[in-house]
Amino acid sequence: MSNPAAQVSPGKATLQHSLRLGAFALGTAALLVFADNLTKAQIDLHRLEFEQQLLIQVLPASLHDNDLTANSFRLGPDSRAYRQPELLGLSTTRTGYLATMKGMPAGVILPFETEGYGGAIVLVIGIATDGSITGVRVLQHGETPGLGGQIDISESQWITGFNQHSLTDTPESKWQVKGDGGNFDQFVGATITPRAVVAAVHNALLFFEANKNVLLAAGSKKEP
Amino acid sequence: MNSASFGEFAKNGRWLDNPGLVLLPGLCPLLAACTSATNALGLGLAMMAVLVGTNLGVSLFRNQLSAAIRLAVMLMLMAAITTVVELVMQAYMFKLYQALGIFVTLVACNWMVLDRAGNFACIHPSKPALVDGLLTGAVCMLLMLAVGTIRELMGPGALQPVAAFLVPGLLMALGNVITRRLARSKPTAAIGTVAVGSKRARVTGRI
Repeated sequence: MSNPAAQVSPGKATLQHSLRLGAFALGTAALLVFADNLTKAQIDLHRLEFEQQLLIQVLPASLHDNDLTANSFRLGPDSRAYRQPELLGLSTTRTGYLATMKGMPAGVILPFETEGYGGAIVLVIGIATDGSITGVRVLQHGETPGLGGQIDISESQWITGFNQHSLTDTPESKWQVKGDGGNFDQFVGATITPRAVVAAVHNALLFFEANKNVLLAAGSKKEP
Repeated sequence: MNSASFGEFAKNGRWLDNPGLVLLPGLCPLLAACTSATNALGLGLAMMAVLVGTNLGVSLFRNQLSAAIRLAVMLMLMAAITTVVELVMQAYMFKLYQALGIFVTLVACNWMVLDRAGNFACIHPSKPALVDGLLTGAVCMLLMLAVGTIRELMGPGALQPVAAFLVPGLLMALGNVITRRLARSKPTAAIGTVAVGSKRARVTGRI
């Protein structure tokens, strides 16, 4: 065991330790930057593929006949084109999609975010033209598996409980988990997560209601 | 590694002193994700990569790591290597990454990695440190694979969450039986504990 700092004054030793620790921190940071650069493109590709698989789940193929990726639009935290974009809780610009059936608008898929127990939860929601939900899925989350993680379809069917509901069939006061007097199930061991998701889904519907005309017209303009 | 032969080193270090079997709690945070053989193998590989990477890193810089900064550097290295493993997994094994989720991150705060880095790698050259990381990782991976495989065979059901503890419990009992047999057949030579002169108490195997 070498002990190079054995015979130096305490002040000098502290300085030495700090410098050494700093050097290691720099080295570690460099390693992380390098690894991030190396893997970023590939990871983004996987995320995009995953997102596109989910699109079909939130707006089933039976409800539309267009290529969703060809009818996409951008939504950001301060998109000027929309009213009350803050309802979606977006932290960054994300992609929305317009679904059409025989050239007529059939619904939209909107990205939205909320804050869970383990940080940001990124979701997508499919809404038919009549304002009813065709599906909700989680894109990214950091919730505890087995507890809040049950918002993910791979763990539980909970998220399908939103299907078919709308602002008209569920009054404002019922957009809560059952424990709070609302209509939506909660799960044992996690309160923050389902509460956050229910509130966020409600907000996404409010956003759709406020921007219906713009949203449903958004993609059709691009069509040839 | 200098005085003991490789066989003895492997036996003492990896069987009698094996953190995986002797101190199962180290594996506990990872057991929840070992629901299938594939998941267990994936997490085991991640664990092995972190063990090898941390051991190698700590061993390479062992002469620069004075007692005052050793722990901080080791933790930093563990966290960084885990993040790298996580990124690589996300880039090249996305399905597996999704299945394991937060559990890959948990490897970073696994004390077993810290144990190998702090009790072995920081006083040994890189080659034995590498071997130590590989062996410890391999044993962990095999244990997790065993747990995963048995749980997968049991199928998803009421016993599943319990099985995460039941299966390793049985494995641990089996390990103890074998250890006792070994001890009875051959009177034990004193097993050298690794003294590092650090303030941390030694918690693995024989104290």
